[in-house]
Order: sequence, then C-alpha cells, then structure tokens
Amino acid sequence: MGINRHRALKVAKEDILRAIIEFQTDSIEEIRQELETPESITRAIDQLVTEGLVCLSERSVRLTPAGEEAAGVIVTRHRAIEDYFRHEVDCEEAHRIAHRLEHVIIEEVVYSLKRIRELENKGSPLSGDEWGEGLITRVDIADSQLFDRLISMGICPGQWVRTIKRIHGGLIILLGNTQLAVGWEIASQIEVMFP
Amino acid sequence: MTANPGKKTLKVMLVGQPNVGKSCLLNALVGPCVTISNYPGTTVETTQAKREIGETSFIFVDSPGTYSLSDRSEDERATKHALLSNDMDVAVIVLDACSLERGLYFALQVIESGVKTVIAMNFIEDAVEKGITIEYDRLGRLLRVPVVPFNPFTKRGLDDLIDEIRNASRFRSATIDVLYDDHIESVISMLIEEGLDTSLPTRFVALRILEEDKDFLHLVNKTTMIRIKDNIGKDCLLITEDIARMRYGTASFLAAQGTKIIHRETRKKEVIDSLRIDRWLLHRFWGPALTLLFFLALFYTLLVVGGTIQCLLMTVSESLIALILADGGFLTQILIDGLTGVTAGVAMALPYVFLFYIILGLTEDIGLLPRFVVNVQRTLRFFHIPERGFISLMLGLGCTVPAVTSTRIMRQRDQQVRLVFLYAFVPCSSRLGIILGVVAYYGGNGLVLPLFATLGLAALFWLLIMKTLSKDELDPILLELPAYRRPMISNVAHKSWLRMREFVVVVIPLLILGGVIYSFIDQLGGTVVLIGPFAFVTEGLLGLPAETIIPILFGFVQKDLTGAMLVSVLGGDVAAAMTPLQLFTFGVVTSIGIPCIIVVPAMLKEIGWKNTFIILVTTSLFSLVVASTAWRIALLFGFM
Repeated sequence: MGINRHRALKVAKEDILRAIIEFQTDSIEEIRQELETPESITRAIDQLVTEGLVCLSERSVRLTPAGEEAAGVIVTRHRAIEDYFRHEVDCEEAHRIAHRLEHVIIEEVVYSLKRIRELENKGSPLSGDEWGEGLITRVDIADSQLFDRLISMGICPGQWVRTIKRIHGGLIILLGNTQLAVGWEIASQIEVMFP
Repeated sequence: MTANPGKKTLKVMLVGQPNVGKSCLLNALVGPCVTISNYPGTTVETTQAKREIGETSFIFVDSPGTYSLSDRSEDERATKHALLSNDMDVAVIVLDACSLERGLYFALQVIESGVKTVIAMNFIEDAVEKGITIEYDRLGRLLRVPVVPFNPFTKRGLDDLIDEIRNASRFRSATIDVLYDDHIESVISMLIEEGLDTSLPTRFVALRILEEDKDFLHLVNKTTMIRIKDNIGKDCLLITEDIARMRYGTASFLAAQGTKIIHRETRKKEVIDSLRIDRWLLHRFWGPALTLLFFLALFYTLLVVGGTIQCLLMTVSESLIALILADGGFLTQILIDGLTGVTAGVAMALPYVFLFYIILGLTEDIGLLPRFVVNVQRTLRFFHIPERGFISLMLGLGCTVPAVTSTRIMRQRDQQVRLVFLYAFVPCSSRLGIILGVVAYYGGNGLVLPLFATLGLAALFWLLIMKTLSKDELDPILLELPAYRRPMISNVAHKSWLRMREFVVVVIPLLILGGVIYSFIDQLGGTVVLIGPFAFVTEGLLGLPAETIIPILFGFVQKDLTGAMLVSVLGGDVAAAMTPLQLFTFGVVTSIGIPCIIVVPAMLKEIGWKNTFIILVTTSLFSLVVASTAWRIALLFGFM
C-alpha cells in the first residue's frame, strides 16, 4: 500500500502546482477542491515547501521560481495530452484523461505524443515510392492480433524504420537491429514520414 | 510441489521472443539438451530439463519463441497456456539487450499476467559494443522485477539468475502496473466489476478480453460486452490498438530510463554485414537462383559423399556377416537376417540422414533458412502454402516424423493438413536412401534425375489439385530475418547428433525387428504366401519382380527396411536381378506416399484420424498410379 500512498502524494503535489497556475489562485481552500485526494493536501504542501517549490503563508501558497518552472512543465504536459486526445474524444473528456495521465506519463512520451499528433497525417504508406529512413507515424491494422504482433516486433509509431529492398510481394525493412520481411498488404497500412 | 521432504522442486519456464537465446540459456543452465538455431521458431514443443542445485531441484522448461501473448499459431498458444497454468513456479523472461523495447513489450504482458518473473538479459556484450549500457538495477527497480545480465557461453550471471529465481519463487512482490488511458482503465474496471470467473489476476484477464484474446472472450457474455462497448462509444474501436500503443510506450519509456548512452547510428556489425550479403541472397533474381543452387548442391553432396560412405559401410558389413555365415541353422539364419536388416538399413540410411542433418544444422546456424523462405515464398504462395511451411517441408528431407510435428506452426488447420499431404512427395532421408542408395547405387547415377523429375511432376499435379481446393486466405508476409553469424561447429555437431539420435533410437530396433520377422516368416515359408496374391500389383501394374512386394510392404513398417529387404529377397545382387527401368519404377513406388507407420502417431496427433486416413489411402494409391504410368510411358519410349 506504500506505493499507492506515494503515488497519491505525487499526484496531489502536481495537482497543487498546476492549480496555482491554471486558476491563478493562492487560496488553499480553492486548491483543495481541485484535488482528487483532498485529504493529502497538508502532507503534499509540506513536501512542496521542503522541496523549495512553494512558500506557505497563513492560508495561502505561492510558487517559488523553482516551483514556477516545475508547474510550467506540468501544465505543458497536461496541454499536450489534452491536445492529443481532443482528436479522439470531446474536450471535457480530453481534459479528464489529461488530468489523470499527466501524473504518470513521462516527458519522452509527452514529447512523442506531441510529435505523433503533429506527424500523424504527414506520413505516407511504407509501400509507396519513398525510400530511406523514416519515422513510423501510424500503424493502421484492423486485425488486433496482427496489430499486436507488429507492435511486439517493434513496428510502432515513433520508431525509426529503414527500407532496405523490395522482394516479391513485399519489402525488407530494418528496425534498429531487426531485419523484417513485410508483405505489401501490411506495408500499405504502415505510414512513415521520410525526412 | 515437494518431491520429497526437505527437497524443494521449482518449475521454471523460459519465455521470450524468438531468437533471444532461450534454448542457449537452457543449455547453459543444464548442459546440452536443446537444439539451438539461428532461426526464429526452432522449438516447436516445450523441452524440459532437470538439474539439482543445492537444496533445490529445478525443472527448466524451454518454450517456443513468442512475440506476444496474442498468439497466432498453435505453438505460441501452447506457450501461453503453459505460462498461465498454475503449474509454473517462476517465469524467466529472456530479453535481447539490443532490442530492449520490443522485448519489454512482451515482458510487460507477462508481468501483467501475475506470474512470478525474473528477467534474464542476453547479448549484453553486443549491446555494449553498440554503445548501449543498460542499468540493470535501475531497470529492475522500475519494473520491480529482478533483471540479471547473463552470457550463456561464458556462463556469466548464471549463479545470480539461479539466486533470483529462488527469491522470486518465495513470494510475489508488487510489480509495475502499466497505466492505460482513462477510457481503457474505466472499461477494465467495468469488466472487473462484472465478476470475471478466473484464477488469474482480473486486471490481466480484462486486458486480454479487450485485446480480443479468444481464450478469454468466453469469460464475458456478449450482451455485457455490447453494453460496455456502448458505454464507451466510438473509443471502443481503438481500444485494442490503444492498449498495445500505451504498452509499447511504457516499454520505450522503461528502455530509455534503464539505458544510458545510445548511439543511434551504430548498428550491430553483423547486421551491416548481413545487409551486404542479403543484397545478393535476397536479390529478386539471384536470390531464388542461389536457393535452387543450394538444393541442387545439397542433393549432389548427398549423392556423392553419401554414396561413398554407403559403399564403405556395405563392404565392411558384408564381410562381417560372411564371417558368421558358417553354418545355416534355423536360429543362425534368423540372426543373420536380422543383422542384414540392420547393416543394410544403416548403410543405406545413415550416411544420407547424417549428412543432411549436418548440412541443415549449418544452414540453420548461419541463418540461411529465413532467406530461403523469402526466396521461395512467391512460389509457395502460388500453390497457396504459407511461407512458414517451407521450414517444415525442409525438415521433411530429414525425417517425416518431426516434420509432421512441426506443421503445428501453421495458423490454420486446413493449411496444416495440406502441408502434411505434401510429405508424400518430400523424400525423407530414408526415401533418399532408396533413391540414392538403392536405385542409383545399383542402377546407375543417371536414374536420379528422371526419378526426381517424376516425383516433381507428381508433386506438381498434387499441388495444383490442392491449390484449386483451398479457399482460405493467406496471411500477409511477416518474417524476421536474423543477422548471419558464423556457425558454431560444436553446436552444429551437437544438434545433428540430437536429431540423429532420435532417428537411430527409433529406427535401429525397428530394423532388427523387421529383419527378424521377415526371416521368421521366410523360414516358415510365409513369404511365398505374400508374394502370390500381390503379383498383379508388382508384376502386372509395375512390371517388377513379384518378390519386391516384400520390401514394399516391409517399407511401411520402417522405410529403411525397403532397401535391406530388397537385398534380402533378391539374394544380394540387385543389379543382376532388376533392370534399371525396374529399379526406377521401384524407386517411384516406394518414395511417393507417407513413408512408414512411425509417422502415423504424429499425424494422428496433429491432424486427427480422419485426415490421417484420407492421406494414407490417397497417397498410397497415387504412388501406384504414378509408378505404373511412369513405367508404361518409359516402355513406350523403348526403355527396358
């Protein structure tokens, strides 16, 4: 259970930092309403103070310069996730997902999400004429088992792929150190952006 | 699980993606007992090996390589079932340090299943060379699963691995939970609330259901599923993809967190070399040409080298038997006939089977097989055979029994049955023994080509019939091509010996038994009874001496008896008793069809009695038709 409490505390801390910026507030009471676990607010604020991210005075909190920086990161992360999911679900739902994911997702993933969203419609099928090394932007396979197989072989959005040569019925690609023979049916469902 | 008081037994399963070195690890842990190949999918069945270490007796179970828990063939399914059965104490996930992300993807799936796990990291030296330093402790902390680097050849890390397996078996600690998107998490909760009837972790089962795993779908009824899908609206269409994507994202994250310094540009040297070689070997024209050349060279080597060894063995064994032939009593005669069976069978089969397995071992170890698959896939697909069937067919050149077992890798039952049909035309080494060791040996090497051509034509005819009958869609090509590597002679020799041993252990007793039974019947005058009624087949249909029915029939017991019995019934000098044309017809009729009864159990197991029966009857009749037709055509052209 120690792990859960640790996580709850981390979530509370990040929520506090974000709430201060997003709602331009310093009232602890207002912040408390924003929290998923209001009971952990005291401990969370205590820790934030020890880490030098906020200053506490009476019933209000203020961000220190280091705190502002940390909060900035969280807000960017939140926005990136919200942005990503706005294409899939409505705004409110996207906000809710972002609210939840921002605590668990790490910078690299946020960065990839942003990149993938930016790139998603810019790729062209791997079966096309373009050749060389490119970034996989989309894997669009309906068969869920086949999809899982491709992912487990490393064919996943965000991965680099190099086209090697054509063979009858498909082509040879290189992903990292893995060489694969892929049929046209599959290759046409994989979108790649060649720089 | 305790076998005897004070002694603990631990059942440890080695799992991992193809070609990560599970079998290598097993060999390193318990000594040589598993076949290692540079080809994904060598292990079709699980292999077990036992070893006592200190107070614990370990049972290590090797499993066929599995890309992910979403199984796509029977062998992968078997791995999943074994892994998830309560029978296993600990699962060791073997990862390739050079392909960490995809390995971790699979590892996360296994960890989600709640099995007690230890991660064993292979190819660490390669990774270091590539510029990747893995922080095992950090990765282990993130996953909350011990990560142990090992090298199966230097035995580095094996003791640590054993310790960690022991620790892991004692208690299950909390491991990493992959957190999925909110909509997925909410569906997972919904499914869990439905009350899934399972002994496995409900979260894992819920995920398997959402990933449309057929083994778990029955745990929820359809209406519930529809209700849940309605609840989440259009997102449900993407749910399977999102799960895989998030899991892969987590795997990438873990790989990035657990790794220091990545030089993206440095590829493994072997990979670069492989690409250079593949420029020729996967060339659109040269690739298939070189593959064909390889097989021609293979048969030529068998003919020349195998023939030489056979000649040597025959001379030695004949002179040995001549030594005991002093008196001709009833029992001595039976003994002699038994011995003749063995020696002739061994001399005719062993050189070919031995050579073939050595060459097969070399091609596997170097990594040539998957390239051959790429080169022949177009032809195979024309006949509606999935490309992965090629490996099974090639195994058939050794012995049909393991080849039939290996057809399990086919994804569809129809495809599997069709593949088993084809073994009627893929000459196993025993049948190669007849072609090269009997027909060519006594009738001249010039008979080999027409004989193979006849077999080829018969196979073509059959393939075309099957092509028109098959309606199922073929899977798109998806095949991993591992980097070439220098063959390890000890590995090849060991592997050939393992395959040979199976052959020797089954075949030699059958040869003795067949020889003795024949002699017994012959001494009591029984063979004459057999020869008469079948004369219409041998003499009428095939133009063969009536006695040849004995070797043909005994061939069904064990194909290597065919040659041995032929020598017995014709009294040693086959060349004088049969014309080249007769030898040719004899070769055709004995080499088409399912070779012998030792294949039948494997067939029953893989494709059921009905299909087995159909295959046995149709291919046997077909062999008679082809041989008879070939004989008549040859007569028309004036051959004798």
